[in-house]
Amino acid sequence: MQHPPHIHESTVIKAGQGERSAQADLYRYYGKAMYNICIRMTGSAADAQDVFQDAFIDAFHHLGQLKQPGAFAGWLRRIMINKCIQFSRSHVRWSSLDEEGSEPAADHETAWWLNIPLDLVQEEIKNLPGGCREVFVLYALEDFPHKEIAGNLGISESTSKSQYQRARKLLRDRITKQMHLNG
Amino acid sequence: MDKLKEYLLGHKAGLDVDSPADGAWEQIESKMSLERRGSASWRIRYAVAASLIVLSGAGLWLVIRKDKAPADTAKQGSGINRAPAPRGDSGKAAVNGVASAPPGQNRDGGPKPAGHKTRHEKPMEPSDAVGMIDKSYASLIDFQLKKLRATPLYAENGSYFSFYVEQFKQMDQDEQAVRNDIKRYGLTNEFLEQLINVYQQKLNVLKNLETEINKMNNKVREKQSPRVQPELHYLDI
Repeated sequence: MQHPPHIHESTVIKAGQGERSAQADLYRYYGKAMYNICIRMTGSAADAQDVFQDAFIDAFHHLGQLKQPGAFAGWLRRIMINKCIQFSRSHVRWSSLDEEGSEPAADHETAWWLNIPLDLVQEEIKNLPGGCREVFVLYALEDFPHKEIAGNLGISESTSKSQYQRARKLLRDRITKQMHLNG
Repeated sequence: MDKLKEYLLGHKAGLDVDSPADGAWEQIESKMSLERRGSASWRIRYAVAASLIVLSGAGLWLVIRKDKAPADTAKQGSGINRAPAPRGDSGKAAVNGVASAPPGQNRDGGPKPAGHKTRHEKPMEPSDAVGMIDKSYASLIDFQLKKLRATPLYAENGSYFSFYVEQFKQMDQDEQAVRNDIKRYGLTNEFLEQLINVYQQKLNVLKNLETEINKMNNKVREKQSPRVQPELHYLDI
């Protein structure tokens, strides 16, 4: 994630020193993207709002410790994701069924997603069941490897892979259905 | 890389269609201000609580030591008065080289003033000190436990909160260990402090448990339709 051109590193430094207006600037520039991470991970606006606010507060509390102000965006994103992972760990129950493997998507699968409006994709990601939703977001959108997802969520790597396939299939089925319904 | 992932990573910004609630920043700001004030006041509270614990511990220890000291002195024989110490106050007076007066009379043989109370009329035993702490803390803990047992769990059955229950049980064991130490080695300042700490930790665990239950219950209430009767569970703690 790049800094918006007019966000100078001095803003990050000032925010780290507790200057409210600088913190507000950072919130304005990064708030929306960060909130979207939270809502995709938690699936609910109320939970996302809680996690999002907690993460921002944590970030501003520890911002003074950030040695490279230029790395702020990635650092903030990591805090958001960690908060979401913490939330998931206490709210998602993994059953033995989650271990069941799914066939990985074939390479020759048609690119069904190409003409789908992105807001519909976002909506259906949020509607995915807890467990596979977190895995899907971490793998497909936050670019985490399955091994890291497994370690973070306290599941096995094979569960992470099967949950990703499950999410992919559900996403495809639900979006296709929505597209048919809406013509 | 799988094609869907590649596509989504390339169009990630387009997915960001949701926005935080209006006033979210104001809430963050006010929480940060509250925490700043809160952390300062918590620091003060901790300092006061720590001082109180140390002072009350030291006070109790002194009282216990003072009670023991005269008896020890009498046993060893200070050379001031080797006569067997009579019962009650007069014994202490004898140790201090003061002639004992009959009960109900002062040193000069006159009657004691009506309101006068001798300082060591009833010496405090270590068990009394522990008993005092037990009484005050145990009633608080009992109260909190009763409250939690009566709180319905809308969201989860009791097993969801087992982490807290286990923590509480662990503290029961810690408490028992401190009590055994007190029995074995006598009441010291350190043991007293440990006992008070265990009680405080127990109260903290119960408070955290209550907060977690309320949080989960509120979430269920928010999500469920008011027509749906939630399944109720109760905590076995």
